Amino acid sequence: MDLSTSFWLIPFYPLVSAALIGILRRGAALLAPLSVGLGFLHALAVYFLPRPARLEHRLGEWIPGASFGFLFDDLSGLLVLLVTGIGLLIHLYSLGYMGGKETFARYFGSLNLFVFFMLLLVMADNLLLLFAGWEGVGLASYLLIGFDYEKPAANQAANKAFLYNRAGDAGFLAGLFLLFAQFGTVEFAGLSNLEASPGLAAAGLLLALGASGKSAQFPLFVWLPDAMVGPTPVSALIHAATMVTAGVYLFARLAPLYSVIPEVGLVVAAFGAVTALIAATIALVDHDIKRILAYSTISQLGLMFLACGVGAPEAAMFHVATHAFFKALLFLCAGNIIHALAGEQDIRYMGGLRQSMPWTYRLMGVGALGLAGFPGLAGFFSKEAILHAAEGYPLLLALGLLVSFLTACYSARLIWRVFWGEQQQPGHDLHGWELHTLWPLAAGVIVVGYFGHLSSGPWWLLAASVFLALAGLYLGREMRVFEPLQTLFARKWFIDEIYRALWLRTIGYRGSALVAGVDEQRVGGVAGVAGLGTSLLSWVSAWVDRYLVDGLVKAIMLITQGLSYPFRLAQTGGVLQYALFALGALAASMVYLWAKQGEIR
Amino acid sequence: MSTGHYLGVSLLLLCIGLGGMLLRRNLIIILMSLELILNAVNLNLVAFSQHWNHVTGQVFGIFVITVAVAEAAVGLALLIALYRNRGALLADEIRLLKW
Repeated sequence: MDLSTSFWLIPFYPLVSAALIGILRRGAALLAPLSVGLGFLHALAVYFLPRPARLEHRLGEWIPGASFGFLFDDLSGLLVLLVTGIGLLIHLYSLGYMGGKETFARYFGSLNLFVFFMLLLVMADNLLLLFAGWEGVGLASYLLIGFDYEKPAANQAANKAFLYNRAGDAGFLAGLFLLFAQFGTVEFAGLSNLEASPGLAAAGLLLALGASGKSAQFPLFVWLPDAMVGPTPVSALIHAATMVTAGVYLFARLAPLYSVIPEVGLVVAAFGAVTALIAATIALVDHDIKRILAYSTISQLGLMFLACGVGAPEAAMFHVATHAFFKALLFLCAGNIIHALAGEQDIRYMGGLRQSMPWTYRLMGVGALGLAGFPGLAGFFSKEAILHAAEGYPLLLALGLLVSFLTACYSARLIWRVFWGEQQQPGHDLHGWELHTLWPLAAGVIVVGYFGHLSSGPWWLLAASVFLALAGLYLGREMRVFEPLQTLFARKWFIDEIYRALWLRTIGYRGSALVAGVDEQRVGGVAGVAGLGTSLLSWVSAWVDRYLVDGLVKAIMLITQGLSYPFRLAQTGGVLQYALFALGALAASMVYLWAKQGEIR
Repeated sequence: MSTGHYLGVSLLLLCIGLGGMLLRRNLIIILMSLELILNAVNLNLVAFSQHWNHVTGQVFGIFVITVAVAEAAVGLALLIALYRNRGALLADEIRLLKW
């Protein structure tokens, strides 16, 4: 068994490590990075050594039409490299970030579990196994978002993330059933040559709903910003390598399926574009450094969905790869800033950190330029590829260009607010793991763009995106948003409020009122009779207990006490008195014996 | 000297012992009185042994002496512990053997 044929072992390194950490509760600092590093090396070897285009391995049959089968081709290989590579850097970063906390083992165990499920997701060769990884990722994200479970906000955010994901997963599952019912298989190989039909379109839409839940797209994106209460490396992991890229991966994996139903693709693209716009506008006015990055992720994912929808999943995957680098870099830099400022996350209280945190400034600047699509950095090429793919759809293209402009704006605003201007709080550069794990990421932001297939778009598109990126970077620094729009953006387009009104008021409260009514009128009668009977019976039982059983015990006690009273009087405790009693008894018994002896004689 | 004389001395010892035990307050004196009673018993045993020309009584006497030694050791140890706890060894002030 050489390295290529044993490719299916890759997900199991982090699983074994997670299990060991869970059982041993120690050695987490060594085991967790080591397992992910082993997976990364293994994946590197499999990816770059000569191999067939599709490596497959079946561990066993699950149900007919779906097996525990693993698949390694260029697509999943890319994601395995990203997940393990970026995951390794984040594990190493966490060594510094979480250092000295008692919850070390729980943290690294959950992190390893996260990586395992994500690897399972991208290496599955059928939709059912992919769904297992999909759910596992949801579970691990729940554990990590709610990592500080003493904080109510963390619990709420974890529940919110889990429930919104469930809403999407319900769609995924329904789509899965629909596909299985129609075609009798959920393996990717069997889903490639299908004919368009209404059933297929419905399944495609349902799967897209699932993807929008996991990848935080409209209408299910509200959980991701709240998920920022988790530890910062976890946010980096969720945004860069695991979890949110799963939806894009699903589209890329099911590209043959979606290519026969382009109408569904257009719906996905439209939702992606709208999400990108909404999230970008919110990022423009938010004040929490991590939430800005979260909305930026949602916006970039929207662009990826746009690309998937117009039938260019390779452009989307390219953007996934570049995005992983600069978003991990940005998040880890943000983690350093938050650490240096003792937990401060509001950019209004930052500023002027350029002097006191020079290295963080440079690294985060590279990340932000990459995000903004500065010509020559990673984000530029991948965004260009997406815009090129959207060329045939004027409206989508216009939205895409607008979003690129806004992206440059909020990137510039973030850097400007945090690092320039007046210094409000003293900061300091961090060293050790927390700084040195960032170099590979920064290098990636600079070079990764040249590894993708370079866009061959028309000159005007190239010129427009260069111009928009530069203009956005220049204008974004001190940008003030028009007042009514400012309110709209700052309140997140009232989406949380709308959901509350829609789900809670109309459906939730009324539904619960209905259920309560049924409970009182139908079920309540039975419960009332039973309750009355129980209380009557317990009253009788209490009476018997109090007067009969207790009375008997008390009577015996009183009799014994009364009879023993005269004897107790003799027990004064004086030793001499007891000796006198003993002597008296001796004398009496002697007199008795003497008298009796006389009698016998 | 007949056996009766021995028994007389023994009776005298017994009475002195009993009197000391019942009338004195100091626990050490009471313990000493107890020894006197035991000695009275010993004298009795030895006297009857001589009278009946039978050795069992003398053996018994030696047993009693041995047991008395052990009893005195344990008793004195108890008294020391008691003195350390209470600071006094007066029999009528220690009333612990009570219901």
